[in-house]
Amino acid sequence: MCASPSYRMHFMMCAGTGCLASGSADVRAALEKELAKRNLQDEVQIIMTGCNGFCAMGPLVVVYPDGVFYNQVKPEHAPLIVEEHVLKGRVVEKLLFKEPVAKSAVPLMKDIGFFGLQRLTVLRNRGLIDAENIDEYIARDGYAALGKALLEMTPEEVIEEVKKSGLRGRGGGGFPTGLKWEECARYDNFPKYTICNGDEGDPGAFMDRSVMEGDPHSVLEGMAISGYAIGAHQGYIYVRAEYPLAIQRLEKAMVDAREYGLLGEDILGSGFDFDLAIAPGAGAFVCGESTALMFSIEGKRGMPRIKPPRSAEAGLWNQPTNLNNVETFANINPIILNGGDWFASIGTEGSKGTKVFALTGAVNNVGLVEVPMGTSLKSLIFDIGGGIPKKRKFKAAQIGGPSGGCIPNGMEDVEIDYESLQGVGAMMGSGGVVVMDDATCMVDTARFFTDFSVEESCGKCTPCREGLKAMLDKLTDIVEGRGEEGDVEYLQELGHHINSTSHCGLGKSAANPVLSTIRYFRNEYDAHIRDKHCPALVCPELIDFVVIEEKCKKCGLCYKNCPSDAIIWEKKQVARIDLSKCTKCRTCITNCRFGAIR
Amino acid sequence: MVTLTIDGVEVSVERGTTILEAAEQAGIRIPTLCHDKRLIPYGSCRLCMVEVTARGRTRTMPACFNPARDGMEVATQTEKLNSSRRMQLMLLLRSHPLLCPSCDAAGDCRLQDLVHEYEVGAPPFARESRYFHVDNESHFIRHNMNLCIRCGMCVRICDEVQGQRELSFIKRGMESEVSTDFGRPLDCEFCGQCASVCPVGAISSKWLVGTGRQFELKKTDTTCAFCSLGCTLTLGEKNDKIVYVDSPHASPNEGNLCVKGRYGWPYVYAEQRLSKPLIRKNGSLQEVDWNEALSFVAEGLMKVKTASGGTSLAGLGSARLTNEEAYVFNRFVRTVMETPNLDHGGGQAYKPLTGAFGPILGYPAGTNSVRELRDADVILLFGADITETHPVAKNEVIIANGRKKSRPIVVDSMQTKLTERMGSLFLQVPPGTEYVIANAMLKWIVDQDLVDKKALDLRAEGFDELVASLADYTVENAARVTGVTADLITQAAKAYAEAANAAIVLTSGLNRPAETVELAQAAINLALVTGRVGKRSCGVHFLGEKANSQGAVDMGLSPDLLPGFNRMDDEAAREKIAKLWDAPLPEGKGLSAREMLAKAESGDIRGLYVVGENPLESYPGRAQVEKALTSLEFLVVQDMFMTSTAKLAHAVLPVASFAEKSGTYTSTDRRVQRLTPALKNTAVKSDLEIFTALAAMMGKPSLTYAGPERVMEEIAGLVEVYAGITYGRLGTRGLVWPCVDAEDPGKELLYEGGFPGGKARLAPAPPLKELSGDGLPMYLIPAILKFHSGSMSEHSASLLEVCPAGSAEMNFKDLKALGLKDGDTVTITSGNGASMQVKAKWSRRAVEGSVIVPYHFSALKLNTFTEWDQPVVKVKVEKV
Repeated sequence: MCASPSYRMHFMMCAGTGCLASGSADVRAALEKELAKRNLQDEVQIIMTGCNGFCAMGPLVVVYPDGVFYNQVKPEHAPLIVEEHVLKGRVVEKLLFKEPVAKSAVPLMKDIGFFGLQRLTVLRNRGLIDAENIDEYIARDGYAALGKALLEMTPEEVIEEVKKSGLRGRGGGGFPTGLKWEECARYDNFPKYTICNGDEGDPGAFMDRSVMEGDPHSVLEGMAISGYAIGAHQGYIYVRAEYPLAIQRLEKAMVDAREYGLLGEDILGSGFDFDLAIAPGAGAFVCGESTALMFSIEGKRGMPRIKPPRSAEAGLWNQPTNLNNVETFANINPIILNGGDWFASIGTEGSKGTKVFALTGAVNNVGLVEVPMGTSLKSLIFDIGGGIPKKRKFKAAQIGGPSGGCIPNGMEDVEIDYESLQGVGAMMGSGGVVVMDDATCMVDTARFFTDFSVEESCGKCTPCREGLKAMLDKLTDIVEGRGEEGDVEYLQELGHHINSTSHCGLGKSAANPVLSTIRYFRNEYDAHIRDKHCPALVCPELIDFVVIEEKCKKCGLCYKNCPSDAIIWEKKQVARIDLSKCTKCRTCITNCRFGAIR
Repeated sequence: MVTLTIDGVEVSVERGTTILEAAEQAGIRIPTLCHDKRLIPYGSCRLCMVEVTARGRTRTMPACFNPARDGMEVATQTEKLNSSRRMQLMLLLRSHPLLCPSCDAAGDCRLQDLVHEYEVGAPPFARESRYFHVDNESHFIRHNMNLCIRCGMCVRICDEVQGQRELSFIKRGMESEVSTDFGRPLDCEFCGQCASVCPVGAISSKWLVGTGRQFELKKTDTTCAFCSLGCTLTLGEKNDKIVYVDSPHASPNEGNLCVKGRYGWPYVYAEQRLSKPLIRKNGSLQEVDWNEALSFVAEGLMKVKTASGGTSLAGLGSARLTNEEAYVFNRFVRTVMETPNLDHGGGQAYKPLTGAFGPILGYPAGTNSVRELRDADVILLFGADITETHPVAKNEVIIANGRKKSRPIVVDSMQTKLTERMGSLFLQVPPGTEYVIANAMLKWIVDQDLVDKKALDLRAEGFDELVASLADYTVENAARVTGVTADLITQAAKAYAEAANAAIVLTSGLNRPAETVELAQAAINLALVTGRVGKRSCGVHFLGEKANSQGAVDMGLSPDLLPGFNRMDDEAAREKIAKLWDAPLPEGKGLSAREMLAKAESGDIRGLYVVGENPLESYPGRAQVEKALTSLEFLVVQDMFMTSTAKLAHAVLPVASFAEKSGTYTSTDRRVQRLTPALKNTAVKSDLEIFTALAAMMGKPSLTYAGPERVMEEIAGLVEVYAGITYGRLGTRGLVWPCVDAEDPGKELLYEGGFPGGKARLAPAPPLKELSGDGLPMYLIPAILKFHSGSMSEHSASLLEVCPAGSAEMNFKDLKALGLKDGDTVTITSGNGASMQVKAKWSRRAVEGSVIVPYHFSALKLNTFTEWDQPVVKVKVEKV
C-alpha cells in the first residue's frame, strides 16, 4: 500500500453503489471533519474502497490494522468512532456486526461468518484498495500477470495456462475459456477484438458491477492478457449504461493504465500494443447475448444472429472476436501468477476456481460472496448468508436469474457447480441467488420471472416472442383464479417447446423458472387451480381474507394496520374482515404474527 | 463435398451448404416462413427445426442456417417435429388477425398454407389483439403491421439486396414491428421487394389490393421492357387487365425487380396511349382506319423513293424493338425502302459497343453477366449511376459489398448511392473525363508492373503501342485535368489491380454522349492488361439504356451494319443476305442519325420512317432536329404515344406495348428472352405486323413472316451466335449468346477460351484533352431522377406519382452561394442562349459546381442545351 508511513490507522470505507446509496460519502465527510477537529488527519487515513460485499449492512467502515468491522455507520457516529476507537483504543460495541442467529457482536471482520467462509480470488482486492488508485492495485500484484505474460510467456503458453486452469465462462454458459481463446487465436484474419461483457442484467445480480467498480484494473489486465493470447490489439468493454460509477471508474483506470504504459503502444516494452474502449449499453437485457452485444457495439439493433460463424471466426465487424464476462477476466491475473494448476486445485471435478454470487432475497446477510465451486447451497445460505430472517423457513432459491431455476427446500445440499445445478433444473447463470422463504408464492415467482423475459425478449424468434407471452397469460390466469385443469400440462408443453426451439440463450432458458417451479412445487399450482387458493397468501385474488378464529390471538395488529378500515375488532375479540371494504392489499396478512388470516 | 442422409435419402452437397439447401437438392421440402434464397439465413420462424443425429447424439436444430456435415442423419418429419411446428404456427396465429376472408394475401399466404398443411386447430390459449402501425400513405406500398409475423424478410431484402435500409425493426419483443424511422411514409426506391417477399399480407402492393386473388389470375411470364437487364416479369391478369406483377425466383434476376418493372407498367393503360392511326389531312393529324393509314404510308414512302431514289429515304429504329422487329425493320429499310440509311439511339448510345468492344475484343457486347458482379472484390463504375438506371444490377453491387466487403469505386460527376457504401471510393470528375481517370489508372498499373504479362502475351496485341500512347496520362496530369487527387487515383488503380476479381461497369444512354468510346476503350484495356477478360466476376459490363439495346446492335440497326455484326461493305455477307432477303442490298455505308437529320435539313433526305424513337426529345440540338424534321417531305412515326416527334409527322401508327406482343429481347447479359403477350389489344398492331403489311403494299410481298417465331428461325440461320436459339429452347430463363447449335447451353462468360480474332487488339489511348477553363461556372449534368427513363415512364401514372416533375439539383454550398433556398425557382442559361426555369432542389448527389437536371421530362426540353459537338454543357444559374 502506498499510504504514507506516518499513518497509524486506516479507515477502509466501502464506496460501492450500495454503500454510497446508504450514505457512505456523508459518513466519510463526517469522519474527516471529526479527525480534522482533533488534528488526527495525519495519523488516520480514510480510503474509499470498492464494494465490500456486505451490502445489506452498509455503510461499512473497516479499521486497520486491527480489522474491526463497523456496520450501518451514520454520520452522527463519527465523533464516537474517533473518540472511542482512535483516541481511547476501545471498540465501539453498538456499531459491531451481530450474528443473526447467535445474536452476539463480532468485532473482527475475519470472525464474521459472512467473510470467514469466503475464498477470494476474483474479489481479492475487495475492501483493500482504492478502486481509483492504480498504485494500490499494482501494490497487490496488479499487472504482474500482464508483465509475466508479455515478457516471459508466448501467447500459446498463456492459452495453455488458462486451459490448464479449467476456468469456465462466468457469464452463464460455462464454456471453457482456454478453448475459446485457442479457437480465436487460430484464425488468421486481422484485426481481432476482445470484448468484456459487462451487460449484467439479471434481476438482483451485481457481481460484475462490483468488480468493475471495485477493481477495474483486474478487468483491464485480464483483457490485455486475452488480447495478447489471441492476437487482438483492441478491446471493448460493454457496460450497462445503468452502471455510471462502473463506467467512470473503468475510464479512470484506462487513463491511468495508459499513463503507466500498461495500455497503448508497446506495453512494458514488449512490443505488444493493446488499447480499450468502453461501449455503454442501451438498456436491453438481450444485449448480454454475445452476438446481440456485438451488433450493439456496431451501432445496430441488438438482436442475436445465427451461428455459424461463431464469434471466434467472425464476430465484431465480422472479425475474429473473443468475448468473456467481467468475472472471467478478473480470474486471469491469479491464474497467470499462480499457475493453472493452482486454480484447478480449487473447486470440483468439472468446475474449477471460485464463483461470486449475489445473495439476495429472504436471507439475513444480503450481499456479494465468493466461494469455491462445490460449496453447498446450504452453506451459502445458512453459514454465509446467516439464514432466513424473521424465523421463517427456507423454501427455495432461484439460481441463475430469469434463466435459472429454483432449488427447493430439501435439496439445499446440492453443490454449486455447473453440472450439479443443471442436474436439478437450475443453472449457474451469472450468479444471482434469490433466496425465498415460506411467504413466497412459487407460481407468482414464476410469473415474475416470465414477465421479465417477456419484457426483455428481442422479438426475433417466434417461441420466445409469442410463446413467453402465451405462458405469461396463462400464469396470470392462474394467479388471478382463472386457472383450469390441464393448464400445468400445457405450461410444461409450451415451456419445453420454448426452450427447445428458441434461438438464443435468453429464449432457450426463459421457461426454466416455470418448469422448475412446476417440478418442485406442483402442489402450489394445483392449489391455485383446483382450490383457488394461494397457500403462501401472496396472490390477492386467491386469498379468502377470513380470520381463522382458533389462530387469532385477538391482538388487533391487523385492525391497527388496515388502511381501509376493513377490520372489525374490539379488545379481546377475534377480528373479522369486512370484505365489502377490503381492498386485498394484504397488509393484515403481513402484520399478523400468528398466520391467522387465510 | 459432404454426404449426409435426409429422411433416408443420401445426398452429396458442397461444403457450406445448409441442411435446408441439401434437403431441397434431395427433393425434400422443409417448411419455412423466414427463408429466402436471396437473403442471409436469419432463423426467426423456427419452423425448419429438424432432428440431426451425428456422432451418436441427436439434437434438434434449425435447418436454414446449420451447415450440412459429413455423416449427418437428418429427420425432417418426425411426430415430435410436426407437433413442434404445429405449436409454432399456433403461436404465430396468437396475435395474427384471422381476417383471411377479406385479406388480399389469401391464397398467396405462406402462413395460411402451412396452417392448412399442418392442420392447425384451435390453440389452447387466448388470442391477443395488438395494434400496430398501418401505413396507407406511401406510394405503391401498404404496410399493415397487424398482420406481420416478424420474419424480417422485408427488412433484410431492403438492406441486404437493395441496399436501401429503409425498413428496420423497432421496439422489442411483443411490441417489435417493422417501421421506417419514426414511422414516416416510405421515401425509398419503391422497388416493392418488401411487398413481394412478405409471406403474409402485412406489406402489399397498393394497386393490387382488392383487385383479385392469386388463383383467379391468368399469369404470363414475359420480359420487362424498361432497361436492358431483361428481368423476367410475371404479369397476372384478371378480366383482361393487369392487376399483379412479380418475378419468379427461378428467373435470371432471382425474382428481384425495381420500381419500373414492378410498378411502372400502368403506361400500358395510359390515356395518352394511341389507339388509332393518324394521317395528316389538311394540315392536321386525323384518326383513320388501319387500311387507310397503311396505304397512306406505303404510298408516301413510294412516292419519295420513286421521285428521289431510295437514298433519299432513311429509317430510325429503336432499341425498344424486339429482335424480330429490329431484324425485319433492317430488312424493310434495306430492301423495301432500298436505302442504306438506318440507325437508332441517335447513332451514339451503342457506339461503345461497335466502336470499342467489337474492334478490341471481337463481339460488340459486354463480357460477363451481371449476376457475376456479386462475387467481384472490386467494382469499378465509370459514369454509371446504376442505382437510378439499372437498379437490379445495383443490387449485385450491394450484395458484393455487403457479403464480400467488395469495394465499389465510383468515377462520376455526381454522388451516387454506391459512394455511400462502406469501403467505397469516389472519384469526382468533370463530365466526360472518366476516360482520363481510366487511362491514368492504366498507366499507373503498367508503370507499377502490375500487368498480367502471361495473359497479355498470349491473348492481346498492341501493348507497346498502348503504352506509348499513355505517356501523357500520368497520375499527376490526370489529377490536374480532373481535379481528383493523385492519391485517390492511385488508390483506385491499386485496388483494381490487386483485387482477385475486379469488374468494370459502364452504362450507355443519350445523356452520356461525351467520350464514351474512349472510355470504353480504356476500360477494356484495363481489363485486358490485368488479365480480367475471360474470367468470372471480372470483365467489362456495358449496361444499355433500353430493353433491347444489345439486340438492336445484334440485328444491325446501324448505318454500316447488317444483322449478325456483318458489315455493309462485306461482300460475302452482302451476297448471302441479299439471297436470303430476296432483294439486292443498297450500296455503300448509310447515314448515321445525325447525318440523316443534317441531310434532311439540306433536302437530301426527304422521307424518314421513325420507329419507337423520339429524336426531337432525345437528340442533342433540339432546334436543328426540329428544323430537320419539319423540312421532311414525308415523316412517319410509329409509337405508342403521341410524342413531340409524332406531332410533326405525316402519319402516326400506334403500336402494341410489350405486354401485348410476342418476340424476344436480348439483355445486356446477351440473354435472349421471350416476350409473351399477356393482353390483347386489337386496336393497335405490333411493329412486325406493320412492317410486313407495308412491304406487301410496297411491292415486296416476299417480306412476310407467319409470326415472330419464323423471324427468329431466320435470324438463327443468319446470325452465327444465335444459331442454336429457337423459341422452344428459350424457356423461362432464355439463352445466352453465343449459342451456336441446338445443344449449346450458351455462354455467359465470353472469351474464356480465346478471342474470335485470335487475339484481342488493345486500342491506343487518345491524346489527353485539356479542359477549357473558360465558359460559364457550372456543369449541367443530365441525369435520371427517381427511376424515370423518359419515353415510357413519363406516361406511367405510377412513376409520375413518385416524381411528377423535374427540378435542378444542387449542392448546398452552391445554393448558399447563390442565396437560394430549396424550392426557389432558378433560371439556367447556357452559352448558346438556351435557358430554362426550374425549381432548385438541395441534393446530396450534386457536387459543388454542378447542377443536375433530369433529361427525361419533356417539359424541361433539356436538349435545347446540348449539341452534337458539345455534349458537355456549362451553364449559369440565377435566382428568378
